Amino acid sequence: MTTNEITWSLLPEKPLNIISKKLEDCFDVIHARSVCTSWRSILPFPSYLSRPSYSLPTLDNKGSWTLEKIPLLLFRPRALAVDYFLGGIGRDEPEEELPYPNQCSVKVEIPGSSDRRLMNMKDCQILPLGHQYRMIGCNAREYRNVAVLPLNQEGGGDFVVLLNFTRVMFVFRSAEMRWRRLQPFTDATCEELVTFRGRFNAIFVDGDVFGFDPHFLELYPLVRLERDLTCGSSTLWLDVEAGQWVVVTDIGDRVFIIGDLGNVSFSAKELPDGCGVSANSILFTYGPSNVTCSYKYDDGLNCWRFSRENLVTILSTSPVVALRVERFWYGVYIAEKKIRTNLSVVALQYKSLFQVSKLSLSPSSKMTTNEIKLSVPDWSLLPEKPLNIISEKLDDCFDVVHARSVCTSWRSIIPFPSHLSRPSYTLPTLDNKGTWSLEKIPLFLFRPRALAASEYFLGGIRRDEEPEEELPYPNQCSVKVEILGSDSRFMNMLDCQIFPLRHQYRMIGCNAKGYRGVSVLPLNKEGGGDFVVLLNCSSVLMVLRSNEMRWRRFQTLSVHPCDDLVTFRGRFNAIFVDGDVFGFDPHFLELYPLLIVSRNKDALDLMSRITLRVCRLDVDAGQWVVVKDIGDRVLVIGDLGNVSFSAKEFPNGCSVSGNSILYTNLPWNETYFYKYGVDTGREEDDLNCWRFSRENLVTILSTSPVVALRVERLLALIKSSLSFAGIRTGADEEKVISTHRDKGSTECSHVTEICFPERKREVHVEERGETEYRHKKSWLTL
Amino acid sequence: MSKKMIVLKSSEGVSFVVEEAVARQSKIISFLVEEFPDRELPLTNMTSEILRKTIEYCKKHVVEDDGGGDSSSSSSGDLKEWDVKFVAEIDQPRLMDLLMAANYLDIPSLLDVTCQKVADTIAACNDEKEIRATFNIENDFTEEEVEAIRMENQYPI
Repeated sequence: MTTNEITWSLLPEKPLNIISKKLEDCFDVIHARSVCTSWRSILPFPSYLSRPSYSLPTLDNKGSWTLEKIPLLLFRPRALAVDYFLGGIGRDEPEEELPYPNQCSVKVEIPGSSDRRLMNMKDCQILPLGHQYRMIGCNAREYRNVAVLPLNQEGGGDFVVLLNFTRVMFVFRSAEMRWRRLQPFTDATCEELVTFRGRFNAIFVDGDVFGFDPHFLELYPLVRLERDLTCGSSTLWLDVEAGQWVVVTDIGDRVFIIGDLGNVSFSAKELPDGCGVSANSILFTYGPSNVTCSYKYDDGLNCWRFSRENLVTILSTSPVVALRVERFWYGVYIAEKKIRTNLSVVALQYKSLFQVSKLSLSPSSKMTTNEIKLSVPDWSLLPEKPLNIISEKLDDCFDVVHARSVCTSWRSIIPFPSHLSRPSYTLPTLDNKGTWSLEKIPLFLFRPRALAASEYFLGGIRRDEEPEEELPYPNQCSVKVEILGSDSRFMNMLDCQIFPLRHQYRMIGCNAKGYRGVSVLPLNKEGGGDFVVLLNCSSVLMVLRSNEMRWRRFQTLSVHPCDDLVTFRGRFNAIFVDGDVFGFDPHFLELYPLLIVSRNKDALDLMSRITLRVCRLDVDAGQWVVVKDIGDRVLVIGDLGNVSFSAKEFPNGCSVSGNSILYTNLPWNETYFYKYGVDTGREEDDLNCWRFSRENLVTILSTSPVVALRVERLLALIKSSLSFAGIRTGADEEKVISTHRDKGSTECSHVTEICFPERKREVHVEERGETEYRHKKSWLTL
Repeated sequence: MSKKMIVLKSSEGVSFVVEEAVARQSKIISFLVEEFPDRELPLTNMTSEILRKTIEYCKKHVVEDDGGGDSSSSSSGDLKEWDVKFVAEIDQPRLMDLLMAANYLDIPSLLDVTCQKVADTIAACNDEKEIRATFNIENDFTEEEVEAIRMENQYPI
């Protein structure tokens, strides 16, 4: 015996290679490779089981995705007779304890069942089905699928990747290592990418099919098959040569399985008789129901219909498609032996087969009866559709974050709220020697509910630099608010009323001379893909295209410095301090600055010292239009960016009313809202302008990194003014007094009861009105 | 002309006789009625209580076609109010059953109101622990995942 073993392990290379070719089942090869070092060194790893992967950049070039070529297998445990599993071979976590340590086993995870099942591959019949490409790590919602073609027929070498993002398609060449957006050729969404005879075929939901040659991908969609209205419910075959869909009535001995995991086909002949699967049938696994039936062709009706021969129970669809196929009479037989009610389950399921019904009370039909009897339902098993509806109904994005933290199942289904994401791009500096980071920051306004006096905080969500910090609400959403001069405060987001405002772009690390702001426009309407960045350095504008990645100096448009950059209707608008506005199309940026509005002397000169003229830019008419009413909106204008929100959304008594404007970047820290047509009590004052309304006193507690405001009704202020005044620092008081001049005594008769320091502050505010002249033509974006 | 009635049978074997128009709000039942007329339809994954509730909802929401075009049995404002009251009376375990019934029977409006109640319940919870406690969900994250979630949930402003 001992000698024999030694001899076998020394089996020469040639016979071993022949043996390995004769091992039909790739898992047998795996077992053989595990026998001894000599065998392992000679027997090649079965190519079918190899899972090559490529690291590709993400669309924004900031991270990376992994493109994996995954072998798909259909396997049937011999002992069970009726269960089928369809899945890709995944990478395993190697440290796990396996019941069959040295054998090939397959771990099947069926959501809802208590533990994963390990199946010994030797006990299974295995059918290799082909390969599937998957983009691992690509979690964009729009992502549908990916197709890969090699550029030479032997495979190996360069390849082309086509990524289907539903409405957009991106193409990637391994030689270039970057994504390009493919010209849109139809409005419909792309359903599927198929490679066939060395060409990509994109199938759109309306039935159109476009073919592309991977060598000339960006040039011509080659084939276009017109939508065929008759294609409704029949199965159609794409005849590429004739350029039309052909109705198919017979697919031979093949069985099609169509589902999320990919569409595969196999021959029913390879399965032993009585396994419940018959040839020439089609099965959908992604129907909302977990009980279904195969489609078969009905000669009498000339269409594919559910056949009632077998009942298919879909036990799982991800990561492995698990099916149980039962002959219908068999199912009835089993059911009779069980509880009586189960009989009707089977009968009903049998009847409802070709409707996309949604039986999802429990992942397995066997458990149905038990589940109902348990009075405590398992909410974690909530199916995908209701969970998606629920997440859409959660208005507050922080509630979504909490719901995502409940359990793995919820987390996997509920998407991360897009409003909270903060994409960033690395851009070169002007001299190309360093890098800046362009960040798209979500801005929020929030109001702590607990505080009696209305405090408002306005800021962008940013990345935290010190992740090791101890947080007071470890698993809750909390916000760290830093107010200059005091410790940072943590506020639990659930105690706040939160309004998402909009996004703002910031150039982090930008030290360019005169840097005032940055503006970004995507080059296609859907976003994603290439974009154009315009950098405002006061006297110069710099432009960068994401496909060039270098800054160019922009044509000088005006001798005056640029005040602000605004994007509107897909165009950049640069506002210069003299009132000129130039618009640019991001596609022809260096070519034509369009003068939208020339300097309007009247508009500027009419601005008096303490009043505000609000203008709206009418792009079509090319002029500034004076605005008296901005509806229920509140405009907050300041260094952090100009934002607006609806005052209706705040409970009454929060001291913020609509149709008002607030500047937060004034040199003093107490101010008022501007309102239109405020009666000052003085006859000489024009009513047709925006001026300070004395209804509420606004204290600006901080302007960076968070704008913090306290808004108080003036009536309340009268009572609390003494203690309130005490909070202010001595230096502040001094400043107030030094700017106190003659006009003070005539202000606002209705607040005469206010104690002295408060009145001085009002005066102060009025006096400074003139110095802040440039803000009077701030941009209005509603 | 008498209205066509159909019979629905709950898991306990209790039969419910409902007008076809009422039951047809379920796309599944609608389909089954066409396919298998004059048969009682067993709904074995629904208890009598849940089935009764579902029928109650459908009766309220039935759109009667009495020759004069579509006319809802109630005005939309009343209906909304009734919906709110309807889900408010349902306790949490029954809510799941009702939601599942709506999902199974494919009654979009009932699915919508039940999902709304779940969303409101989630929004009313202070953290995910409370959500877990409310819905009796077991924390199945590993320690590493919990740590990752903890990091994800911090939002410095």
